[in-house]
Amino acid sequence: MDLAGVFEARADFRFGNGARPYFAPAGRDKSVDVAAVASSVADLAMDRYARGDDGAFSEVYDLVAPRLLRYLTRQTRNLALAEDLVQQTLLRIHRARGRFTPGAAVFPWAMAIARRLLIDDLRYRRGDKLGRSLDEDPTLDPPDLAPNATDLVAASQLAARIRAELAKLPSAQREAFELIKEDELSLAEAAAVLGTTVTAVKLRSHRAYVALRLALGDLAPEPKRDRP
Amino acid sequence: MSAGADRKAQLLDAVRAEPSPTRADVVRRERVWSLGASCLTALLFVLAGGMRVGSRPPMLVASSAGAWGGIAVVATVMALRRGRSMLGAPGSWLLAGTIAVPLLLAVAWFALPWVSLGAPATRGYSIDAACFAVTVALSAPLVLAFFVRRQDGDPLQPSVTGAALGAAAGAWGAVLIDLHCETVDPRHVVLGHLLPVVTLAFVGALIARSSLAIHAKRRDTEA
Repeated sequence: MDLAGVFEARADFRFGNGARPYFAPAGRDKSVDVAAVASSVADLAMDRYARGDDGAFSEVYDLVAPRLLRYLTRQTRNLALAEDLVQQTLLRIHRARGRFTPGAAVFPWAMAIARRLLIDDLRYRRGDKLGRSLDEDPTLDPPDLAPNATDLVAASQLAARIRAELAKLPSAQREAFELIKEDELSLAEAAAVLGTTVTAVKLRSHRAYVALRLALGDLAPEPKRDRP
Repeated sequence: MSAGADRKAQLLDAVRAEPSPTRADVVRRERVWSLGASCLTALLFVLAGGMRVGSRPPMLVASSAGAWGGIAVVATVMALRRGRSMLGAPGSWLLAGTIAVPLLLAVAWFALPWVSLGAPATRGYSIDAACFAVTVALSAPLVLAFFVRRQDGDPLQPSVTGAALGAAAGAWGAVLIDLHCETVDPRHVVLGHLLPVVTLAFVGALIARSSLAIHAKRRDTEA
């Protein structure tokens, strides 16, 4: 079983904040289709907003804000800061609505603005602790423990280990990997958000994948041996 | 009301309190700025003396202006066009294009048989400085109009975008100074006609760091 399969099998739970687990393969499962449809609906809503339909902004908010919040919370580990940056990002999108190109994708644009705001904020606050960790933040919803507490504990431990291994990666690799696997962006969209080429994103995410595969190889189940 | 709904309500209130232009408003505003900048540039060109062929062969002048005009068009499209993306071309492409603009202008000029005319070399730097100043002045309204078109900011590479805008505007200034200035001395062309393009690219990059860059609202740091 390859690494993605292991994660799919063992990390099949949802985080309390609605995030999909790391490593849920962003390929051909239903959740990717949902994300693609949501992006497409958001693009259309943004286009209507650019044309002057003021009510469409509420739709844009509903479709874009949760994904942005998930991305920013993961990056900052500070829910208050992430929420503030989401608001700032959407306010910027509102101010620039007249320049929204028909047929353009709103999510990579929003993500790029959010990322820039985050970098700027971190630079300003450099040297200052970024606040409480995600786990310590009481405002975050706790994971849903209803189905099976044992599985959830195992999945939670697995997620923590994956997070730890991800944190060890160079930031360029980690970011490319997370944008594709966690935020379900296409290679082209991730390249646009990072301001680089598709080839560079492909290379970075592949290197991250190989590094994680090496680091987390013990999670793969032992191959079955035929008994004599 | 839940925290999420409360945040949404807050944002919608802020949006209502700060109306933003629609696409039609933006298109109208951009047309006004583009027309205004073009008229101002044309006026400055006329005030500077307009087109002067002098002793230069008209075909050579037309060829030079045509080649430089083509480069200016490509530079403008490269700097302003975002295609179907809100983020434009990758920064490395934009940077390569920006560096290529003055180089291509130089190649286009030196590829034409100007040197074979045997024009006397210019003496002193005052004429170079005068053409430099006129080129910058002719480009300035276009720099402004181009920056207005990108005033929504650039979340990826504001300095590179600013440099591209400056180089594109400078390329138009170079086209006009080439039509105006009768001097065909290579040194003068480099210092008086091409150096302003490079300078405007640097100035554009500097301006963009404050005008196109996206900054987060400053929050009080947590204790």
